[in-house]
Amino acid sequence: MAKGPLVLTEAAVGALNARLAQLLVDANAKTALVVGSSGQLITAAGSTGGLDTLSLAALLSGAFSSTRALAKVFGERGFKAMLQEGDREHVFMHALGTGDLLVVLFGADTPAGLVKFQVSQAMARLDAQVDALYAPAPDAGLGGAIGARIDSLF
Amino acid sequence: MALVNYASREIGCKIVYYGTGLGGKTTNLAFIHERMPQENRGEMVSLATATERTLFFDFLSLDLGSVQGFKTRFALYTVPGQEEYNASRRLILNGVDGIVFVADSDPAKFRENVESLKNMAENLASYGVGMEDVPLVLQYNKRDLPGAVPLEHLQRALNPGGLPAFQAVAARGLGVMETLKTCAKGVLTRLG
Repeated sequence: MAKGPLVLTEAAVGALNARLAQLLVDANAKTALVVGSSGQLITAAGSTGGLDTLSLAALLSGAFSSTRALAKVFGERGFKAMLQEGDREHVFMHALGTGDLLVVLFGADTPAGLVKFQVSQAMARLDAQVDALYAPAPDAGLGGAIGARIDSLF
Repeated sequence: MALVNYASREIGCKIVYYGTGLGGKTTNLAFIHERMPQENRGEMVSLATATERTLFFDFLSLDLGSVQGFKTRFALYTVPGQEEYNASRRLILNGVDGIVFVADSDPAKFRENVESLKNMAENLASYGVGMEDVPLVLQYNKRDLPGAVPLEHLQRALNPGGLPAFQAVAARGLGVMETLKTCAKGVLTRLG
């Protein structure tokens, strides 16, 4: 059976963003994203100017999913994190307990070890907060007429 | 899985274009990209081979305006149709909210269409999702081909349940927006 929508309340997103903002300070990083297992952007904190975060989320999810599949080919069962090192920009991704993905973008002036360490320190609380997003949701309150309204969108 | 975000007042949904290799999935996305105003769409991302065959996926984000005060954002994906890329197809179906199945009207592709639909059902089942759980729209593409498979043959083989279906010539944009609109409407209706 397909799952219902993931409903994010303002309070939940606000609390999660505050946690991500603290992680950015602790890790001297620029941007943190939480990306759903289906490639959807759940939230972003920090500097996102100039980034197409929706496309970025899809690519990050694809990169992580395919690398995890590759790890399975080699018999790895506990694949949880990957680091992409560029000349100027680095990306660290870590799986969350929900199957979603925490992504941290940071510059060459920040040691990757610091980011990994701070992510590991923050992971338990982040896991709990993201897990709580999946609690039974309030009615989305969108009303039954939403399908009819789409005619005006095209 | 659709996402309803009260903080940003956005609804996010995922639509996947599925079907045989060279059937016109990427062509659908390219036309939508070309047709939609720049302010309503992101850039089209294609992870393709040197010969422009889809290797992993194509991606296009669309902002289809507002309903009930929520911005509706659709993430459109294609899958690689070639048989050997099934692992990629399965990954891309994760969390899908709506599917467009693009069938090729070329008689030589008839059996491949049937196999691809079966493959889609198997991949959905790997996530515990049945075909009836996701809004599905069929698109019979390349209707301008000489000797195209008659519509009723395609319907009988691929759509015995009478799901929404459209004839299309995606290379000329015919039937493309109608297909997308019907799928998007099906997705949003389920949310409502």
